[in-house]
Amino acid sequence: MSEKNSDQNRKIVVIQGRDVYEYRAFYKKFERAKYISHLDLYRAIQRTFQRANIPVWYTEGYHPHIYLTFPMPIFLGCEGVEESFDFRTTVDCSPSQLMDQLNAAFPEGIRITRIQAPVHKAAEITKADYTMLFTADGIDNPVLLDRWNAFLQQERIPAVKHTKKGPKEIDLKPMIYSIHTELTEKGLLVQMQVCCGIEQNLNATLLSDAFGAKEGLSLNYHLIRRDQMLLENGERFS
Amino acid sequence: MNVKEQLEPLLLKVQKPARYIGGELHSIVKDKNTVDFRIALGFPDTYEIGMSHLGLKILYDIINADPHCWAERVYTPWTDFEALMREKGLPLYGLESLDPLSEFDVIGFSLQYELSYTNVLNMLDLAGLNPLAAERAEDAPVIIAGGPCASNPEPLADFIDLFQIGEGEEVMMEMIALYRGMKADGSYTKHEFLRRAAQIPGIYVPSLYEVSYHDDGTIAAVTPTEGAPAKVTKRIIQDMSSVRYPSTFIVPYMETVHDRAVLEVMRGCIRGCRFCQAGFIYRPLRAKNPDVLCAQGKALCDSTGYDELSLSSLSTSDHPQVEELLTRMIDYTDEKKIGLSLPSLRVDNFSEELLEKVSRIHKTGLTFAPEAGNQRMRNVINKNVDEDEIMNTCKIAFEGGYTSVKLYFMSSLPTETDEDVRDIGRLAQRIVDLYFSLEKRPRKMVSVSISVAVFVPKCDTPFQWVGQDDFATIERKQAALLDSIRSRKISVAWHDVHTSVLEGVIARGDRRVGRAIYLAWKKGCRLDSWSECFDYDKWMEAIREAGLTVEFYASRTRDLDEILPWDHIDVGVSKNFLKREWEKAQRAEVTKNCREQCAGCGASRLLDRKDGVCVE
Ligand code: SF4
Repeated sequence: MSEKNSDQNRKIVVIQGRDVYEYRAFYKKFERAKYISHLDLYRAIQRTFQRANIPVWYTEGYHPHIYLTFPMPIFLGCEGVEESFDFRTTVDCSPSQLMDQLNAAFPEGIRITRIQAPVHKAAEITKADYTMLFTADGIDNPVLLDRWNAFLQQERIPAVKHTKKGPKEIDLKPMIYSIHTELTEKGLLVQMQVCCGIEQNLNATLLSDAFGAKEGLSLNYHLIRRDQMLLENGERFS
Repeated sequence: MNVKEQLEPLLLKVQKPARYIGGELHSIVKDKNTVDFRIALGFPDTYEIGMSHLGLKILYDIINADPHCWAERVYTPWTDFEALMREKGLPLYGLESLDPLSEFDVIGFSLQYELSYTNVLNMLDLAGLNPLAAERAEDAPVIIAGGPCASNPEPLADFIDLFQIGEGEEVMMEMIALYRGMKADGSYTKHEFLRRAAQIPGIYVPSLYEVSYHDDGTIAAVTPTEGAPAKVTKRIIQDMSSVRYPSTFIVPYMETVHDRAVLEVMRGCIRGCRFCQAGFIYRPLRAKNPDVLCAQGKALCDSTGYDELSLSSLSTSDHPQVEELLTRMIDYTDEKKIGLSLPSLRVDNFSEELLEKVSRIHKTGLTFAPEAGNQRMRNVINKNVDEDEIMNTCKIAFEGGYTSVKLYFMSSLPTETDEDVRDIGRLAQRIVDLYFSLEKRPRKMVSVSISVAVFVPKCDTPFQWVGQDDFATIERKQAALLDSIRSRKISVAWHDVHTSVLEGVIARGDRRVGRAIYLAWKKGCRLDSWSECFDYDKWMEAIREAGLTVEFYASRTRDLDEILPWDHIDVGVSKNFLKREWEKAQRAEVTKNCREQCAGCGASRLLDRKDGVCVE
């Protein structure tokens, strides 16, 4: 596999002597589509390619499947506004036409906002911005805010992370780069920048769920959204 | 706050929230002000199972094709979401509108297995409706049911207002027309509607029938009232090639059990395996022609984006043009990189060219259903396959590179002895031996897995009179089988004895079994087909408290002259035919399949075509 004359629309890679065109699609995931898990999202997008009749590139091998990669999986329950996936076509296509064809075929809650040639590598992502809005059963928002702030001010914020090797205790504190909470009519509106990447990753709700567990509260999430993913130098992943 | 806003915070507290939110591609949302009839099509099990069911997809499509009608879906919530719904007072709702079910005109349930019955009661209760039909309010939705288990509707007679017997495409629309007409002209009362609906062929209204019993508990008489017919005859579609079939399916956001395009190839089966209820209640055989099937398959794949297409029928190899059909299908799916799955395919008499095509796509594993371990037992159940065929199929498979085969059997069949059960183990051993005798075998270890279901006698089969093995006998036979297996290359999986016993009680139950179902549900039973929820002890308590016994319903052999609880439901096959078949079974005599020779089962009566021939 090698690369040749790419432009901002697409990258051209040569696979087994054939030109293949690689694109990065940025999409929004919202409304009911936020309840899709990563694996199901993958399937939903594959099926969209089938329906949209796009000359998409299949992987080689015994079980060929549509080539699709995601930089950082988005978790179930989380909306996204700057999410992306990469795909390839066997024919040079115009990004805007691809976008129209795909958008016409997507289910509710998934929409592509732009298609371009991939610029960064997924491995360059190190942090992400999240917005959350939550309340808790049986407790007024101002009281909830006080307890949330106290929770965040701890020296260490221990949480249990479920890994393949079983549950593991980790400290969330160093993984939070900035956090701002505002009291609104609808609940606590939290904006934060946390670590996000292949090496180390903090799902926003891991923090709030740890808070709920510690305080014995049942949190009601009204919004969980990943706003963007950033490189170490603060540049937006594109 | 609308239901959607009320739902959202709850959904992130439960497993698999996509089950409960709707909005999937091709789900149909209409403006409720433009329709005058709303029905919730319910499947009394989880979303993943219900979404995989073809019958409801067909009805959803047909009803929604009428601009006056809106059909939605509803499934059984898992226990975590049910608890939240009860805690927050959130009523069960339709997945398309998110409106409470109590606002619908009709709620329908597809009855596929007996162990889903408590889910019907639980779903009605979650909808804020009384499960007991007699106690439900006049303005509550009409509760209807259909599906294979409706061939013995009696255990649910207390809960369901109306059953549709047989294939639903036409009778459903006739029922809806009656309902809408009566609502429009002001003549609707629930009772009057049910009385008139009972005049539509294929509709059974249990409240219009009185059942009396002898002192020994058997039925003395079933008496229709208010002009209801003495026998309700099932409906069939005369011409499968011209009946409407969905051009698209709802594409779920989450993975379901059969998450793929499904093409119904035909209805009915020519084989007549005596244990198989489906083989009798769907008679006669009606196939779709290959042109129609190819067009329908293409439409489905194009509109859904599914990369798997499954051909569905009881025995696809018996399709009259199976070679043409498969050749054309494989060419299409190959080109489109779509996987074709061919369950229930016998490959014995295919041409070499087709066999090569089929085996190319069919590499995943080999399954085979001899059903019984020796020839006498296979004759008893009329499973027309002999050991040479079994061995030959395995030989072809092994020489073709397979190293594992899966075999399906049943135990506790009528006339079966412990020795017969041991023959299952011996047959598996001969397959292992066969493997090692082959020169051309793969250089890997062989594995033969056998899955053994416990036979449960069902209505409308030749075994409908037979006493099911009791608990102790089933366990003894399982032990005999395990003892007969001497090789680590053979693995055995059993069906649970407890659920088989309960299924046996309900499957041939009468109206009084409804009391046990109600009490079991009251004790908290639901999702009974899920081992983590099934509570046998509670069920046994409920059966006792209802004044019933397992012995009477499951293990008692009925007298051939006894009035059976389902005798007034006519699925086409005659009682005389079933008696003849039962007598032949006891003599281990086989009956030819419909294509070889008509056995005069009675189902040809259902065809408009009166030349008396079912199969070309
Ligand atoms: S009438 Fe004859 S051919 Fe028709 S289904 Fe019955 S046995 Fe088969």
